[in-house]
Amino acid sequence: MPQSLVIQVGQCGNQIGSRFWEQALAEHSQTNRKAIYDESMATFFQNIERRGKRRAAVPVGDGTGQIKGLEARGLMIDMEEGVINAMDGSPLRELFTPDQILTATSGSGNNWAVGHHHYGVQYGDHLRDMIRKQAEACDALQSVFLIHSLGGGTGSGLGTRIAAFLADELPDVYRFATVVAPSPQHDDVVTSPYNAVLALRHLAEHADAVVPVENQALMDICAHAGVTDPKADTKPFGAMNQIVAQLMLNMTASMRFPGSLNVDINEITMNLVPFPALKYLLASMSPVAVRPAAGAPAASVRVDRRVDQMFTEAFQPEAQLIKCNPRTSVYVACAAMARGALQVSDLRRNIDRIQKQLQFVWWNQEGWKTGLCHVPPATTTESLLTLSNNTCIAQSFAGIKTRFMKLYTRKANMHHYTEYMEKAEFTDALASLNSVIAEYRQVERDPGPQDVEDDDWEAWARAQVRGRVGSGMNGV
Amino acid sequence: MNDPSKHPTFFTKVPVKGAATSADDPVPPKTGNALPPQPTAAYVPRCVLLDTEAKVVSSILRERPPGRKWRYHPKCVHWRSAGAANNWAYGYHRHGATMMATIEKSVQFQVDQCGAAFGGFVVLHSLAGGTGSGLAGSYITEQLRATYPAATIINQVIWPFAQGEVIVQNYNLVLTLAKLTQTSNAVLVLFNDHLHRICQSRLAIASPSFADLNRIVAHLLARLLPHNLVPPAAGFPLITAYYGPQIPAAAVPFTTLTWSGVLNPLMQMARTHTPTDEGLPWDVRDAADPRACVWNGATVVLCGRGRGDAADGARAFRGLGGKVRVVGAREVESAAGEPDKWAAVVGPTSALAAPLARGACKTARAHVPGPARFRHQYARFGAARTDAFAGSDWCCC
Repeated sequence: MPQSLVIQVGQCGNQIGSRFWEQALAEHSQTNRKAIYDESMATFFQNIERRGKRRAAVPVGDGTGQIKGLEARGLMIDMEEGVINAMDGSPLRELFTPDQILTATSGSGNNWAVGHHHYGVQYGDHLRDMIRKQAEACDALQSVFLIHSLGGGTGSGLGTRIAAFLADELPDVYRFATVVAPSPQHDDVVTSPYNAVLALRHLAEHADAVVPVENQALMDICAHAGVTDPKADTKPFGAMNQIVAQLMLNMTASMRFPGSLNVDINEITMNLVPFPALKYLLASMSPVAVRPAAGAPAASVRVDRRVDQMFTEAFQPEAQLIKCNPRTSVYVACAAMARGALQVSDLRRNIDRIQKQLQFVWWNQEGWKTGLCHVPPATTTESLLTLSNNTCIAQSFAGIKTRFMKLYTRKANMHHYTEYMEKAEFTDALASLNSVIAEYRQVERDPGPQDVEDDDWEAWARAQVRGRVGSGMNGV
Repeated sequence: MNDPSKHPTFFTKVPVKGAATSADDPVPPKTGNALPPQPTAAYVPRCVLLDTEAKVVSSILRERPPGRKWRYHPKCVHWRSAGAANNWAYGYHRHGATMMATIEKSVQFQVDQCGAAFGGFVVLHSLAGGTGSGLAGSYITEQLRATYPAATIINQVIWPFAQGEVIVQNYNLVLTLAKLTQTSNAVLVLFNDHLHRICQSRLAIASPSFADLNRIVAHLLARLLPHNLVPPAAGFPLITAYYGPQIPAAAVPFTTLTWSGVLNPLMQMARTHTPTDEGLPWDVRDAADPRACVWNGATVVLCGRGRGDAADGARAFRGLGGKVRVVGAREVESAAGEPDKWAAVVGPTSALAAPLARGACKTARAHVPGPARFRHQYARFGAARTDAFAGSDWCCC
């Protein structure tokens, strides 16, 4: 079974990351009650046996060996110490050995250029070594997940530098970036538009797929679910991070657990990225379980209505992890990945129903990729993740661009950046963002060939084949 | 098929000894071989299991239903862990050569087991994904054809749901069918949409699972494969099958069947490309009707009692067009829970034109003006532009 690395960078990345590992363990422990180190566990974890000072990796073998000690296949990177030090003493901290952790003391000052150019150069060789070492511990490394923010300095700057290292060191390994985009309403970093635009350019270059999520969307989902932080005026970060962690677990569920319609991680890029530049995937989930269902009744009866409702909700604007409305824009492609006791007929029924409500690009009218994984998440009996390539993402990018231009035209804060980088990087990054926006808009506006009607195409092709069968099928 | 000794076509008796992986095992690392040591002789199916990921194959190996008197030969099970990404090019170019090298000895072993009675291969795969289409359907079939030129190769392919299963399914299926027309003797096309409809409307399964769909395919294959399915005219090997009666197992004891009751609807299903006998357009009476499918020969397979009636009923199939053969109709006892009369018609028909046209049309229109969609994904694993075009040319020009 293929393996994955998770690289968490910066404050945001590490906070989401720690939720991710917590939930990943919870998920595996509910299916793996005998603590066996099997293929499924091996996706994200190493099995390490320690004897005194000696440390040996125990392979999966025939899949019946006990777990000796788990280590995460991942890296924790931050240019401050706060978040990572706060994990000291927690069980999660034991998943990481010192050579999987890189911290510095002075932070990146919310400056992309510091993360990317200063720390990126200073720790470049060291980071490459760390990556190589993790990759060598895998026997079938297939994908790397990067988690970082777009608005800060370390995550956006160093995170995108790491993406470049990955492309260089592990060219055949799929690179997924789960990035938290700043939202206009609740932005506590003045320079976040700069950081986001500069970072997006490098993701455009080095990532195979980018799954952006927005703080505002996460907060709204939490508010809707009735989760607020006890300290009233701060954001419910715990629950928000949990949603992003859940997103990543659902995305990788089908590669870790059995199902009747598996979706390997490389199938996601294959099906959802028709052009290399259109690689931004809009995610939505239903139901969103932000709290563990403590004392929830054991579900025994399967209710179709609940399954259908789950599909309906996942296609509502409120369920999207970015503030946008995919229903008013054009779908380039869409994946529906279900977990739990669903059957293929549940997919068929709901896709037939929902397809009518959505607008797909003319050349991909049935652009659905579907998946069924039999193991549900730890907190609910079933769940649905949709990943869609939708042109509405251009509006989010346009919003970031507007905020970028506000600063850029006034040259505000620019000297902090030019201390570490050429000014031309701003124009390059802006050009890159413009071209992504333009490409999505072009897809959205493309009416398709007007002269050939769809039915004509089909009738013509049908006549060709019919003629061949009818005429005794004399050769090809 | 619980008693393998009665089915020498599909099973062989071999001594399965000791450890699964021995020193002279051709299997390179990363390929699993998972059965625990099993002494004594056993019946093994004449088959080689192959996948580019581990989950499905390993769960099949874990299945040990009570009463099963056979098991897969441990050396004939092979997998990788990388997957094929729903990408024909990944399956064909990336996995092809190494995977063929891996299974070569297993295939030869099974061929040797058949001895002089060896007839050929049946390759079971899908058209939508990367492994089924690129690896099994295209590369492996090509290599089998090269290594065993005299063998009959039948590919049983599953046509994906029209609405969404894999987004790039039309590319993969056109690329695969383009190869298969050159390498395969018969390509038996079965449609997921049809199987699903049979389950829901005829077998009273409210929420069919893939296991339900697969059961129909397996049952159909077991009855069809002993007969010669190769269509009479060379060059266009695509065939499909219709069968009846379709009744839930629970209703079998309460059903009395006559041959005309089985064969008449079947004939109409074949003529109008309808997977079930529900809502059949009975007004399509002969081949001259524009709605009727053109057949170029057909094989009618009969199973069950009552020979005379069956022959009468089967005569009606001559109306389909081409040469019609009737096989089976022996005095066979049907297994418990199965209807005592069963029939299928299989052959090349113009009914295949519509889905084929739709698939080709989708692929073709993704190539019309503008940049080629998904091409970079195929190019990543070495599919040349010409591969894709060869595929769509075959269907459209």
